[in-house]
Amino acid sequence: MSGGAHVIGAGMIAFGRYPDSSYPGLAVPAVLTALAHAGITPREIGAMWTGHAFGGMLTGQRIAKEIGISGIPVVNVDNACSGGATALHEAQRAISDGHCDIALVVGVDKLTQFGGGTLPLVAEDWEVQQGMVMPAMYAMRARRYLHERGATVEDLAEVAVKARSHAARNPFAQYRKPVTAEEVLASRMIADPLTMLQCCPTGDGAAAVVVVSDEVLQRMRVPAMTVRASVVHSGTFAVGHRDMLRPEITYDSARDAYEAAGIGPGDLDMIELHDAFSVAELVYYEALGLCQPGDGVKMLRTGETTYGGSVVVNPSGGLLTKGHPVGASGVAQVVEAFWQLTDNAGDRQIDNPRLAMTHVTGGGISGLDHGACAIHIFERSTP
Amino acid sequence: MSTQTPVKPFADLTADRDVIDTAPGGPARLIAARCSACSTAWFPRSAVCPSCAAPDPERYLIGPNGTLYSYSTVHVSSARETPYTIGFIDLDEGVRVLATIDVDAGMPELDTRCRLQAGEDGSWWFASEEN
Repeated sequence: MSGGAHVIGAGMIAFGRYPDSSYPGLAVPAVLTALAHAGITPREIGAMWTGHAFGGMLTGQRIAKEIGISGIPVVNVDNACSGGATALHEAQRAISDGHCDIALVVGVDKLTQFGGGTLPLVAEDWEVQQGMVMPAMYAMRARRYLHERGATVEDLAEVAVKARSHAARNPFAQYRKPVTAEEVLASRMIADPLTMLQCCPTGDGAAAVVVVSDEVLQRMRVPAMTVRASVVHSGTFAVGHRDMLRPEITYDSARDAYEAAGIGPGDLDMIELHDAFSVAELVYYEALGLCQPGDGVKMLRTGETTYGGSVVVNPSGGLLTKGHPVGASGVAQVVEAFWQLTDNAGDRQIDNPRLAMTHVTGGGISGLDHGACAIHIFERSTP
Repeated sequence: MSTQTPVKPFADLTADRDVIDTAPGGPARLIAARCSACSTAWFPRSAVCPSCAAPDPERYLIGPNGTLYSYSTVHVSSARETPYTIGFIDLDEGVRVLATIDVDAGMPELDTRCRLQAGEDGSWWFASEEN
């Protein structure tokens, strides 16, 4: 990294169902909020990256043209659920390398366009033709987790209980009502053993951040967060046995991110990780180095990963309860980190956090545990 | 070959779609591929080795026996009519296969043995050996 990259503004809409909104309809309010808080006008943006999975051609440009952003490089990014974070990865590198001073990063998706049910994966894919859907992939991971870790379905349900308790204090979350483990387990079975409340909801959403160079940050002198690591990896095609409890893509991405930032897992004050399904959170405690294999349930049940514990995991409510409009999620995680690190997280403010990690993985093709993973580490920066 | 001779795309949507091979009187087997250059085996077949990209892999029969790694009964799906049960089987030849699992006789434990079954209509699935 030659120069620094810093987030100085963030905005998002509350995730939910918006049948009356187009992609620009979802994204423009989020973008205008981020620009207003950053003190930046649309004309000052030097380049724009938009992460989405289902928006169709030129989604970024459809947003840009509504608010007077024109002529600059606009790039659209798909990496499934890692799309928004990959968009940030590209933007911060452009800033770092000196190609751009002020970048806009947007994440947006409208999943309600598909009605409901599971997301349509690529129909040409062989495993999809056998019936593979994301809940089934994670359900198999969950059954394996129960088998190898000696965990129970009640342990899985506790992930959703914690997520809802955090979302209760997040006005941007799709589902905010607290639930009990019993209610989680009694909800509709999607793919055994995962019930509906253990799966991220169908929803729409948009989030945006403004990223700037050292020079611009010095000129503006505003509270910010500095990018300390930005890592993207793709999955490894496996022909034979693959350990679904050891997602190599997250292990590798986390290792690279900690090394780039010069920190360890114990230094983090908060993590927004990829909890698209309940079991995912427990598997990622291990993969992100928060605990040894086998100790995830204990960490969760003893409160280590909520307020008052050693690291707050998914203060926003996570993908599980804040929602998971595919391309938007990676940017929404960064928005949460920004609000937390600039003491703007309202009722769910963590006490004086300094370091945050965001983590998303994109799945859904044969032979790959996941197709993509993007991890960022941010540090509070005070003027 | 000159630079002006176009390479042909793989007609992978329609070529070699059969996956079951059963010798008369013998057990059902799956048609996998094995690389002549690096010996990697994979299923289903494709035109080029996913490990080293060498072309023209060999036809390689695998199964019928394997170990059940994990599975799930799916109740909500955009991909197939529900309910159905799919799982990963690690065949003895070292190849993992996503397959329909027959759970009519009960829900098998993980890491137990399974056997490939084939129907007359070309359908195929794995059934537990334990029941």
